[in-house]
Amino acid sequence: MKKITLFLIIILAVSGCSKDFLNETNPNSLASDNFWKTSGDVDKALAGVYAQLQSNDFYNGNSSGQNAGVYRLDFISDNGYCNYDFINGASVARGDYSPTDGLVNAFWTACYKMIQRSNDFLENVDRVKAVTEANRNTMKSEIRFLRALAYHHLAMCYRDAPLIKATQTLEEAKVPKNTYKELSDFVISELNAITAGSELPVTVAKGRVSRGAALALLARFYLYNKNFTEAAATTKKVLDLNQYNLSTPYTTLFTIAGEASKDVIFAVQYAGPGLAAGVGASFNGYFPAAPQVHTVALPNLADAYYCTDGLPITRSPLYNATNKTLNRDPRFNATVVTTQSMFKGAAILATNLAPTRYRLRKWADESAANSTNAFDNAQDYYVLRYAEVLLTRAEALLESGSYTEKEVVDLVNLVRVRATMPKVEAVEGSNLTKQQLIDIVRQERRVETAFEGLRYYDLKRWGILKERTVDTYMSVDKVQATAIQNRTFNAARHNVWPIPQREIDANSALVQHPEWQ
Amino acid sequence: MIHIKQKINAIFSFLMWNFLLATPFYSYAQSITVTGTVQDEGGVFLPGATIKEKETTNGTITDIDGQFSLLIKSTQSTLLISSVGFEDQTVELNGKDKISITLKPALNQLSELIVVAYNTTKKANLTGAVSSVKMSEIDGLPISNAATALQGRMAGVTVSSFTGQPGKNDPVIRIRGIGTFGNNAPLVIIDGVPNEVGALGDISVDDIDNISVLKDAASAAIYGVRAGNGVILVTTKRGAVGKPKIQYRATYSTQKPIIKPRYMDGVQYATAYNDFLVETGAAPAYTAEMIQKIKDQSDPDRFANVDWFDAVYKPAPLNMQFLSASGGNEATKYLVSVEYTGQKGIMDNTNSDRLQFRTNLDSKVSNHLSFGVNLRGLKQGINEPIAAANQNDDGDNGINRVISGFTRPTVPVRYSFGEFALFDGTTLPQIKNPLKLLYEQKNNTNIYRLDGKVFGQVKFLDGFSFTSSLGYVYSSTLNKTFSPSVINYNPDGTPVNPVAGISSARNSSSTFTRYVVENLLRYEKVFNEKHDLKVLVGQTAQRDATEGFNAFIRNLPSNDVVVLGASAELPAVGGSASALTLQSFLGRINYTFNDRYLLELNARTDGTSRLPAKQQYPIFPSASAGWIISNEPFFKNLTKAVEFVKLRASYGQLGNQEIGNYSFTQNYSLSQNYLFNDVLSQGVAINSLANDKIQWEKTTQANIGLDIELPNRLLRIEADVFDKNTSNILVQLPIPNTLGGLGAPNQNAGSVQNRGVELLVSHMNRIGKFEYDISLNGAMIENKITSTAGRVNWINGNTINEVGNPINAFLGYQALGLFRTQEEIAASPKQLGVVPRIGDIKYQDTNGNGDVTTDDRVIIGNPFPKFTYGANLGMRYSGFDVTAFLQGVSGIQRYYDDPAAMGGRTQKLLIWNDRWTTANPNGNLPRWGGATNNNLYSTFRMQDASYLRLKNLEIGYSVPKSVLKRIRMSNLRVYFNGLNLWTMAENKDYDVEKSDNDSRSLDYMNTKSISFGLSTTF
Repeated sequence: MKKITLFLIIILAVSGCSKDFLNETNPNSLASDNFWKTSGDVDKALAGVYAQLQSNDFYNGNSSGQNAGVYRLDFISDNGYCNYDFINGASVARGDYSPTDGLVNAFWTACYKMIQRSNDFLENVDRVKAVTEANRNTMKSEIRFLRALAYHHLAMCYRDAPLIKATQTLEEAKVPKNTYKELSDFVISELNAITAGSELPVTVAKGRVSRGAALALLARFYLYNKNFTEAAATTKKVLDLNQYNLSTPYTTLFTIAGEASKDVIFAVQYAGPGLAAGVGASFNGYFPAAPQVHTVALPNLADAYYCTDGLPITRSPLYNATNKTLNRDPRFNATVVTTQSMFKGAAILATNLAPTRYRLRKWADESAANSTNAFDNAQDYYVLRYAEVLLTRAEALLESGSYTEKEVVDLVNLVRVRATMPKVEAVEGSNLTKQQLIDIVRQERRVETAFEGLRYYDLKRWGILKERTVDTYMSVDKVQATAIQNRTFNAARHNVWPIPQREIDANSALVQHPEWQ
Repeated sequence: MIHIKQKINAIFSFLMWNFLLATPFYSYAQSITVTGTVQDEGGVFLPGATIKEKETTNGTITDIDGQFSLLIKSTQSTLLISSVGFEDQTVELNGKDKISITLKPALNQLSELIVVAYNTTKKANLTGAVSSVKMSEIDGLPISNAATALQGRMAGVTVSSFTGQPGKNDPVIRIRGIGTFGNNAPLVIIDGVPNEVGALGDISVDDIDNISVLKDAASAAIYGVRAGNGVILVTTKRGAVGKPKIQYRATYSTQKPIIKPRYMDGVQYATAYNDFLVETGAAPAYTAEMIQKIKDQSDPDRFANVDWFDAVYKPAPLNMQFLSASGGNEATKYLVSVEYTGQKGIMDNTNSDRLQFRTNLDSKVSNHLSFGVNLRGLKQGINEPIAAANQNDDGDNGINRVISGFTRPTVPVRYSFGEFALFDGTTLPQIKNPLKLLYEQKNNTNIYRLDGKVFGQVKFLDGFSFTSSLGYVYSSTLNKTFSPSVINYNPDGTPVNPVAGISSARNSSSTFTRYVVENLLRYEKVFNEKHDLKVLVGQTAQRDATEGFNAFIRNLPSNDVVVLGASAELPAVGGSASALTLQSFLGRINYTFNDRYLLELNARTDGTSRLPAKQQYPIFPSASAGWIISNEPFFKNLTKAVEFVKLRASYGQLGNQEIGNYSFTQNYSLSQNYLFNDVLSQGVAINSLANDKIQWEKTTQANIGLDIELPNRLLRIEADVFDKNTSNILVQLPIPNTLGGLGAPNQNAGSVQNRGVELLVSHMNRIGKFEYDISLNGAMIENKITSTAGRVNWINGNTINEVGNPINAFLGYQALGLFRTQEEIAASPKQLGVVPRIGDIKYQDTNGNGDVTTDDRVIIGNPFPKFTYGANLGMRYSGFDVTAFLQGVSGIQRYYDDPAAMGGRTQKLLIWNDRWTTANPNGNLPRWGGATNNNLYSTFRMQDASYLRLKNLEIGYSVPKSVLKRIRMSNLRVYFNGLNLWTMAENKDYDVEKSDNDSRSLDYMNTKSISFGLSTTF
């Protein structure tokens, strides 16, 4: 009996199951039921929304992977060339893309990811009373800026897309698309709303959204929508903040030291290398001794940089066809490398310059010790710069019709002088026509902001996408470079990206653009 | 404590009284002792044989020397003697009190005990579809993985081996087709403890007594929610009453790659590449002088002639040793064993070694109480420099990819000054040297595992027993990788990179624990000799937990000091954890009437942490019935010709819960970090959408079977027809990315049908001293999607899921041969926007719209075999035995992605000499280079992957017992074995037995081997 007793004790001991036996919670993440309780939760959620900026399909773009992102939109313009077929967007650049294209799908998803995270934050943050209302309002304004930023990209690329202002369940997700006007009205009204009051501070911690950032984006988007009067008025508000200047030399601007520049209004933050948290930049990564092999510059862009006398290479006596790095606008050497350039303190091998003979120096962190560092580095990506605001203002004034030549030229000169280039009047003289001034501003905008994600949208809104990305490419770049691919442009559809086929398959309410049907 | 004891005593006495009154058990007057011996036909005394007084429960078993003594009612009683493996015998005492009994070996398998869920049963009484294999029947197979032993042996059990990598060669097992879009792996239960399929890979094959596969719903339903993909039951050997038995086996094998791709050699390569360059208008890469140097090998540093496949794959030894001791008496039975397997891989510098021990102990405390313990300890080491077998990556990670895509024959393995080579005397690009990778990179895994079970049984009243057990698994895996800091060299000895790269090391540790508690109450009784009733009710609970962490460090001070603490830099660390719980209740009733009518009813209900509370505890029921026609009175006259006929049928429902843990709860994912003021700020965000409405997948299966057996095993037939339907399949249907690009939740959608026929036919005969047997098995399975829940164009790369077709059917273009004339091109539809050239593959415009587009793709292949079969032939003559085992599949296709292009570091197969060129206008393969259309996924490279393989050929010799007696041995057998010696298949360059997603044939090669072994018992 003693043994039986012992045995029964074993049975009782091993079969004791508590009521909660089947209740396992995930130890690797936070359950949504228990979230939104403390100020720490709010901080984590805020960082979580900002973190989407670093997504490889949004502002980062993994140089060794297939991801594209905003920075690489320049390779579907006349500025750059995508060196590998497998990278998202190569097909968009070539003009043989379809609704199943990788970039078309990935960029859409990246934007809506930012929107969903923003909506989730905006819906829930007010549950946490531990954070003061004022602080909550500031954070909400920041998040509304980030959401507007995503919608501004969606409107520019896809024209019409669903306007989603609240989180959805699976059942609610089958929504039709909204029109471009509904999207752009939303972006403008949101940016106006968050800049009307003082919720957004003028000076902020590095990385956070400031009032200047919201105004700069609003001005840019007014310009994109050809609302030149409002664009000019909004840029004035940025200038009046008295927060920004161009005192940092262009040659050091795109380095880690340049991140603190008063030129930078809003930037995607990166840190590295070796931080496991996934906050390193890789959009600008390169292999040892070979700058950026995936996204390369086109001869067309390189040739657009003037010589130090302010004249284009076709007219300047200073131009040296055998050593193109000499006597050039300093932004040439800050943006590209070519034969005779030094990179990381060494001359570049010709084989490392194929196929266009121009590679990118801009954004490359030359202080990085080796290849691992290069693909995981600390270089911030500048989303909004004061120089862009100045050039936006110049363009808006010109296009609005109510401008003085001095006003416009002075704005351009601020940008030129910082680059140590001669002033406009010193080269071009005065009493310039409106068209001459427009050409000067557009030229300046291109060389100043190459590979900052603006060129593709600029060409689109100027209506010269085909002319510049395909015609010029085929006649200029194709001739100068070796073995680069053909580009075609289908005027019937290539001014707008299709809605991703995956979305149409998953959402029966969504209808493809007529151009792409 | 006394209090509890008294209570239990009280309950027991009460129950005892009730049953004593109801049964006549103790009312016999037993007065006479009968003694005797039991032996086999060879005169060997049999311990452990059962002697029963007929029509009573009175009985005993023989001792170590085959002796017994039993107190019986009278010398007019009848005794029933039985022993496993022998025919039952009835002896009428007729007044004798001393008897000597000789048992005949059981020729038919009807009395053979088959392990089924929570029980064993006589084969004759099976009502479900169960295949089983006794490991003693496949003795001597030189395999380290038990799952491999099942290949081709059981109808309806498809086993596919895709890799021969030591320690990683787990085959894929599918029971009765593919039932779900998700996880199709069967449940594996080893001695009652649930395990993953991989556990078959590390258990010692010599420790296994038998393996049963529960194929139909009724047999498996008692495992409920995890049984949807079938159940494999593994039972290990245990000690038996008798003299201590020492068993030793040693096998030594030499393994080789199962097939060798026939690549071009140095001269052929140089010539073909030159030709190709010239065709495309470029300058040749090799001069005549260089080609001469390749021929005469006068400058091996610059113009070598390397067969990179042979350089990487080399014959490798496999050494297996097994030692066990077993025995026992009525009170205690034991088995202890130790196994060692040392396997070098056929790929250079890959290997695995394994050491394990086992103790299985049974103790009978009294007639009422017994308990036991199983304990196994294992240590396995696996060495594979940087995922040698990785087939997906085109970088350094897959050695086969490196061979085919990043080498050329003219670069030597090592330069004459000893360093690994990367260049040759041409200006062609640097190769990736597979041997350099295999020797410089490090990736070692050590697995430590302890598992076992403690169990006890109380028998009480008449026919009741209660069994309780605690099973436990602990396993710890430590993986270490290291990437060194190296300097690469040119052929002239100068360094390519004077500064060595930065080294890095990663250590990852993970532990897994599982405990399973099981309480079973049984009632088994025969009423009036006609009504055999068995009832089982039980409860089980299980918890699995996994925890892991890893650390990564860069810049180690030397390539010889690779511990994490050695670097001055800060490490990057990671970690995660996961748990799963399951609680179940089960019940079963077996009823047999008059040995003719068999009925079984099962039910199980499960609760799991993987599903939301409101979806817990669904009931999985099943029923099966059998009719032993040959036991009917009207059949009596026929039994001389047909000994046994049984008809069986079953129907039931099973579940599948193979989705990840925690998938129904909405969570904020960590690591969504950002930087404010250059300071890291921890961030979280919702990354995937949860679905709190998910439920189990449900599999409903019907099975009808017929068993026929002729006397003396002249013919045995087992036939089954089944219809298996899986519905509510858990699948991640695509959701709109406008939801936030969130991961899609699992939803219950779609259904799949598998229908099939299984047949087993065996024959055995003896002509004088010559004995032979033939056994054939085959299964035909039709796999068909019956619903995709409205999802159309469900295309994943080159596969499609479509109603009416198999899961993951291959989708591609229909190739119509090559364009041979310009007229043909002019008359043909456009080919994906490209104007083809002569020598290009021509594709069919399926929809006839005048242009070949992605819409013209059709289903061009089936990833899963429609027909699988095996044939076993055995012969024995005076100590010699020969076994040949053939296995094959058909109705299956595989794709061979071998691009029509050549580069400066691309190995090409010799078959490419027959490519189209202007000089070879009748070539059968497309021209190289140019438009990419020649590499589209099409019927051009889709091949029939049917094969017939001589899986095993064994010749053995057993030394006669008369000789052995003198050296006090009871058994000694030496054998020679050839594994995978011969294969008949269409493709001659790659193994056709490859994974459906391994289109480039990049998996670690399968092996063939020749072995010599000896097995002995003392």
